[in-house]
Amino acid sequence: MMLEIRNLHALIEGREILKGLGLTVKPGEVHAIMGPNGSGKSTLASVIAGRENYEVTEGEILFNNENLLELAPEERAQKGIFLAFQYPVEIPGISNATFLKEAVNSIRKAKGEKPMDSKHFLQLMQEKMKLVNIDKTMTQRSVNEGFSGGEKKRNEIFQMAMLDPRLCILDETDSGLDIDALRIVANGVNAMRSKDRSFLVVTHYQRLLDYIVPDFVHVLYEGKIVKSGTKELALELEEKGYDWIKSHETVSQ
Amino acid sequence: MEVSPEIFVEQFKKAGNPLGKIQQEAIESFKKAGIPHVKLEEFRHTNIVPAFAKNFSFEQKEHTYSAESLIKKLPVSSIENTVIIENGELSKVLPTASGIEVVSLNKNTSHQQFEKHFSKYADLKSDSLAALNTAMAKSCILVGIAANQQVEKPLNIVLISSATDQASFIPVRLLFLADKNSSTLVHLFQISASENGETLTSIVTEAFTDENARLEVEYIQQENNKSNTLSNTYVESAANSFFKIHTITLGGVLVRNKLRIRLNGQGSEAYFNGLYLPDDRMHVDNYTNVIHAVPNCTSNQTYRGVISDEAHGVFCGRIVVEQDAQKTQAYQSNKNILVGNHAMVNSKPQLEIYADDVKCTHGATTGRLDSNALFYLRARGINEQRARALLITAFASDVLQQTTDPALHQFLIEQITLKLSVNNLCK
Amino acid sequence: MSEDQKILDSVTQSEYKWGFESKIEVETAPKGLNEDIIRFISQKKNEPEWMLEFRLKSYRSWLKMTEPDWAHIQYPTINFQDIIYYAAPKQQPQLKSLDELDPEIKKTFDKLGISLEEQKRLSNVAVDAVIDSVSVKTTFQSKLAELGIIFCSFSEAVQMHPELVKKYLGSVVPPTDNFFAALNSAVFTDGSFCYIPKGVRCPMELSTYFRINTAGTGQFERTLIIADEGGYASYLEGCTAPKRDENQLHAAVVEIYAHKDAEVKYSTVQNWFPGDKEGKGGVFNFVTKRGMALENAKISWTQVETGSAITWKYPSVILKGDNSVGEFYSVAVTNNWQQADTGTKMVHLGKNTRSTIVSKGISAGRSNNSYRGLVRVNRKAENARNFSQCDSLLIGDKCGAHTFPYLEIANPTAQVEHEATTSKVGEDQIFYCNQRGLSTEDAVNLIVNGFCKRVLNELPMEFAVEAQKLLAVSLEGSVG
Repeated sequence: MMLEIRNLHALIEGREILKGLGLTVKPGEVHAIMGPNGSGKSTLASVIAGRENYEVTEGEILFNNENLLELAPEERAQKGIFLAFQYPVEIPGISNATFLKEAVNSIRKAKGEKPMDSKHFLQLMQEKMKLVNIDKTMTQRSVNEGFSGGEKKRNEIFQMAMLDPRLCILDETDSGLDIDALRIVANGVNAMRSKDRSFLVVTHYQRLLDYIVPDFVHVLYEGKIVKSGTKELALELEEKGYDWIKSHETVSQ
Repeated sequence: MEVSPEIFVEQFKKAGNPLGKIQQEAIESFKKAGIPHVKLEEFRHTNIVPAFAKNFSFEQKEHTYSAESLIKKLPVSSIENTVIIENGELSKVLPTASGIEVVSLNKNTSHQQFEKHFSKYADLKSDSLAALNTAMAKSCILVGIAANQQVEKPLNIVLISSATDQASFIPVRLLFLADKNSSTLVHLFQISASENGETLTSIVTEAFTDENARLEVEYIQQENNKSNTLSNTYVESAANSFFKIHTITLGGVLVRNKLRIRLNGQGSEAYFNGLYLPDDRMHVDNYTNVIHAVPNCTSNQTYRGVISDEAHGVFCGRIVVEQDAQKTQAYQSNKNILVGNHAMVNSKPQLEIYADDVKCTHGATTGRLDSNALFYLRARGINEQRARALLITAFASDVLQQTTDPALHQFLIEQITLKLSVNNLCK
Repeated sequence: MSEDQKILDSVTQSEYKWGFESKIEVETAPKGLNEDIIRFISQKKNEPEWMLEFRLKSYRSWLKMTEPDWAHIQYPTINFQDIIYYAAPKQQPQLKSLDELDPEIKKTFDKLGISLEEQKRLSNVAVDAVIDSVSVKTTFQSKLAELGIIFCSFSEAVQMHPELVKKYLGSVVPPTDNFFAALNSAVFTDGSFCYIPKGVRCPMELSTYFRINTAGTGQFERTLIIADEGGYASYLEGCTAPKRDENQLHAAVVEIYAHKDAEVKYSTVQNWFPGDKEGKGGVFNFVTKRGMALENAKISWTQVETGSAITWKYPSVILKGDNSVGEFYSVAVTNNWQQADTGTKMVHLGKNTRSTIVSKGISAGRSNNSYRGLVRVNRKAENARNFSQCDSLLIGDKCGAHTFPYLEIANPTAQVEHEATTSKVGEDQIFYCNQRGLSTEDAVNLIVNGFCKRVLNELPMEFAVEAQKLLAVSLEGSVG
């Protein structure tokens, strides 16, 4: 098992957002997490990555049988968890390339590998840049500073490709993208699909799932997964809307 | 220990006015005003009195160090174009580029430019530290750049201060004259001869940039943690001239940099950039004063502070736009990050504007490192201490990116990284 | 009459339309200040012994203090012995109904546009009217009393609620705080007092109108507002004075004490006589205003300062309780020879305290307008937040606009941001308005109103309209 989440409860500023969430992801699987606004989708992504302003009060997250909750965000990243941010942070004063080199070598160091030299690093960058149409000037600019919405999201996928993670969490990567940018991002993700890499695709709309076809679809509502199924579930949701889940939920209660 | 101007007055009497009768006026001014104390608005947050509470030695002792080996640690690419000033005295001038004159002057040397500019910009009446320096200086070191000279390589000036077991008081007096259409880059390094010598260095620098001249100074303060520096810089600029200074404070225990420019010729520009990274119990104060006296001038100030441990950072920037100075553009920005639990900062950005057709802004912020950015870096696998250091370097880049010399830029990044790797960068 | 003519007329007439003098019979104390005068004032007001003691103590400390000189203002030396410290309209005893009010006083307030007749008031505002040194009429008192709210003149409070006055007087602004506060503590003659009991939200705006009338008098009013736990009040203050050639001194103290969860909003439209076009006359306005905010409390100052020859005023908040909030919104207009040095102090002591400062200064003529503000975050004030925005607008090339912020931060978790800009009314903006048919004067008013919007929005509705008109009047003649 790659990721096992059991009975997860999490708070932000004293408000409970996740209320007993469970989820299991095997290597190579693509899981989509869907749900209306405020259902806890982004919270789940943040809690797995280790954002500090969320407090986990109950439950556990195991990643390759290791307790994730005890680890610092960088340790999680070093073990292969990658979060593509919904709102990538702008960091003026550090170039994308410098930042990535720092990240790549931190992860290598944690694995006991030697730092990558500049030549190989550049080669790696050039290879991965093609994946999501990143040009050289973008790597020289400060991290996300002055990037358009589409550029930021492409940059996230570029970083993902550079860091070669085991579990990729895409937090609303489709939001704010036009159809062309969406296709580029999805192609980048699909190129990275493999039998030992898993994906957690968090999204509000079914649209993204036309391009990144999931193995499983889960519906998150009020901090719990209330329905799971295959990719057809996403289509059903698209057709009936989230109100269907909401009414369904009240009936079942 | 009692602090009184008297010890300086006595010392002054012994010296016999090496720089002429102006020194008599200067000591009178100093006697009258005394050592500035915290009740004065200008010194509200910086108490310099303890730096004077020492049993000072005024005499030059035998050197027990090698200036050459000290210089090796600096980004001085070749020993050419380098000037060494030891305890305020010009000790060595290595072959300098043509068009640059470096001389030590006093009342017995006749020098037309010196007589025209010396002590014309420092205000002895209102600035008692400038008065003290003027009274105590044994010589004035003039750096002149001849008209129409475009000096390619930076001129390195290394100020070395030393002390034995007794604290020393070191007056340094500099005069920069950039003649018409000239262009120069000066690296001014201030270092201590040893880790332990306790010094109080008083530096007064006067600079005049003539029409179309361009003078750029990169001033690196890296003295030991027992050194006190009181630097007072006065600049006067003529039409279409350009003056730029970076003040990078990496060492010392008390450092106060007063920097004043009078933009007195139309079309002149001034850029003041400062970066200070005090740690331990260090105190750094940057006090700037930009006076727009005539129309169509531009000034821009960028100061960044990273305050660690129990250190204290002070910034006071005053922009004055006089009534005639229409079409002035004046900007100022001071940002501070507090990384020490007992770190403190005082920021006082001030605008005094008497002309209406102006564009003036200032901004000041104090805060922590952005927690979102920190998480972003950590989520990419970079450990916390390193992520903090990276963000601080990025924060400092507003200033560092404006440095002109790549070798110096690299040197500064290394020095800052080194500093940040040992400091406790708190949450 | 053509439209232009009408505008012109209203302009010339509205120069300082509050500059009339009312013929009200007054009783005054002799000029000068000494312990006997203080005893006289105290005796006139039939004060208890502790009140006299407070005054005398304040007076003695005042004698030892020196007038502050750090502000960016210049004025002739004030002769404190040449001022009348007590002037009261002769009307005794306490009124039972409005009919008993001196018709001249009524007329005065009618001219000011303030009706003291409750039934005629459309808006829901309770008014305490103060002429020279004495409160002449407080409206809506009984209605407020039903809710347990005390709203009365300060003199009345000393008689009726001595325990409250004794407890809170000087608790936020101690008599030794500064030169002018000490003077006020010694000689204040009246002002407003307000107490909001636990959990009560005051349903109407409380308002005080101050008017200096008698020549040669100083006005030294004292206002004390206490909001008990969970209480809420919105308070308005307005001031005017007759046109006179000589300067008049106004040195007031306002104290606000906001207990846990309480909220007080204090709005001022200050329109004391600013002096004439040559800089003759006008009020010297030296005011100390400060609020104490306990846990979760909020104190908000909003001021529109258009009057006075000299303004020296820094409404402040001490954020003592955790999660307390302080706000300062200010518009200061100076024209002709006026000088203003005004701003605020936000002192963060408690955890998670927040403060906001928005200051808009407009200088015209030969005036000088300074913002001076302090943001202090003490060592123990974890997670304090401050945002300050100070903008200056210059109209004409003979005036000055200055900004003097002091940021003193001693806690690394603080987040403090200060921004300031200085610019002039853009020629392109004016031209754009001209091209759309607006006169230059109207264009400037429009631009100034836009510039001040953020602050004007904080004012209660009735005041906002008045303030906008006042801005236009204050800037008349400033566009060449």
